[in-house]
Amino acid sequence: MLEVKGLTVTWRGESVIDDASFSVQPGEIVVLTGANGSGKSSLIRAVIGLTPVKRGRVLWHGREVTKQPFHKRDGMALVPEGRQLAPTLTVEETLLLSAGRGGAKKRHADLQNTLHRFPILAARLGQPAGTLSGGEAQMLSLARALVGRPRLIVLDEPTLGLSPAAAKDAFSMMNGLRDDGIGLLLTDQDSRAALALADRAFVLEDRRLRPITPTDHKTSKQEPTACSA
Amino acid sequence: MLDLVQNTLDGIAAGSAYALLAIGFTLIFGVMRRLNIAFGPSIMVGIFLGAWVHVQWSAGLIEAALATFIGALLASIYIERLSFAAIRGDAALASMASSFALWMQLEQGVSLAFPGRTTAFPTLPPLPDIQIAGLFLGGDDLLVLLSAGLVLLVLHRLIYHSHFGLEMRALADSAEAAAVSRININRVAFLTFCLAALVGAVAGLLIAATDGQITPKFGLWATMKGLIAMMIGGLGSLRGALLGGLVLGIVEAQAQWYLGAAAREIVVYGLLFLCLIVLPGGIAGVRDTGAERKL
Repeated sequence: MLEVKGLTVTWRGESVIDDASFSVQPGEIVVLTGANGSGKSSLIRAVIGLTPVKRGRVLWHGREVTKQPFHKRDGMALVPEGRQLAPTLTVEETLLLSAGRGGAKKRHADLQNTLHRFPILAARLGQPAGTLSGGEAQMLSLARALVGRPRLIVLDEPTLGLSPAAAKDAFSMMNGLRDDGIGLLLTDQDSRAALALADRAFVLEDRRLRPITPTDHKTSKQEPTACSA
Repeated sequence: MLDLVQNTLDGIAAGSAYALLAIGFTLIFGVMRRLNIAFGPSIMVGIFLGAWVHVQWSAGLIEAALATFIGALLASIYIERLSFAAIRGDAALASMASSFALWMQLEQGVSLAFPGRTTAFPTLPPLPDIQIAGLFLGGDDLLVLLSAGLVLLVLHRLIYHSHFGLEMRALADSAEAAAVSRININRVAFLTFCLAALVGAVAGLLIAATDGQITPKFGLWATMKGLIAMMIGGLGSLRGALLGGLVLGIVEAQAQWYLGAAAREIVVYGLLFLCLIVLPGGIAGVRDTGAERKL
């Protein structure tokens, strides 16, 4: 479904990612781990089309989309680090904004379908996003990604700042999304929990992406100090 | 007392046109976080095109209005392409300086094309004046008020009850949130520029048709009035722009009546200074924190 081949990303002239290659298939969770500042977010933003790529290719269902901006990539969605919600838009407006194309009727139908998964948001439709609690805001960020009926969701630190219970719910929901056939590309500060979900995993070290075995990595003594917050 | 009320009424009529100018500025600033100081001159280009159509072919108000809209739209697109689309989003100062250069270019271009300076513009259709309880509202003023009110209603409908309006508000709120929501930011910014041009063209049209003439200095005049009204109301707030325009119109009318035309501008700039000191967020109380911005 998503294929990344030899991706090189630069930031202010400096290379931050060199020659990264990986893929994500439908119903698969691929986890990217690495220390803070290793370039996970840069890689994610480049893969999804929010920042330019220096070299390499991104294929989406076999079609080259490397230079295509994010807004043109139907079927992809992002749950960004820090949620990035428009604070004065209400929950309903936030979701309608990201609902699939095809007119007001279809957008409202997509909204209703999404709200079934998020009963708390359904009760807060008229509330501005900026007034939600951290957990609710993260839920809205996840709902915003789902409302456009994506086939791939890229999640950048989705449990950052959540309570342990809320983080557990979030991971449980990600597991459910896999069962629905949605591919997930995930980075998370709680790498143990993320790797427990992973079908495949990669570690980003010294600008290079290296495949790791999720189960082996879970038992690594070094991993928690490098990746956990 | 009657004078005070009459001046307020006159001020509201003038202020409604100022409010439209301020709304034009606000749409661009609110969505792009950049100031287009060539906004007034772009309207001036439109009005001169309308005046040219009128003088050349004895065209009436409707044809002149159409030409005004087309001219203002084309001039705005020219500014948007050169001073905004071509300059990085975080280089707000470069955009402002570039729009100043285009202001000079447009004003000089119109001065060369219309060397007579003052050019005739078709006047508004005559409406009967209204007199109630000693208060007077001219037919022209009534038409300006009604037209401005209609534009505000349409604009409100567009911004708060359409998907495009939702995209505009999201972009005004947070460019990053808009990008994550898969909004085509460049398209929304471009269309907002066009919308601002049309709103400004309505204001310019009403003012030119009330006066029955136009000079190339209209660009400077419109930029100053629109900017002052926007700053009094609160940068980036549509409600603030409306309030700022009305307050500016009322203060001008009162100052002119009680202190004379010469003192009018002194009072207006004094008010602006006072607002910046006492109410830095303007009447609408816009907080410039990034997280609290609302169109």
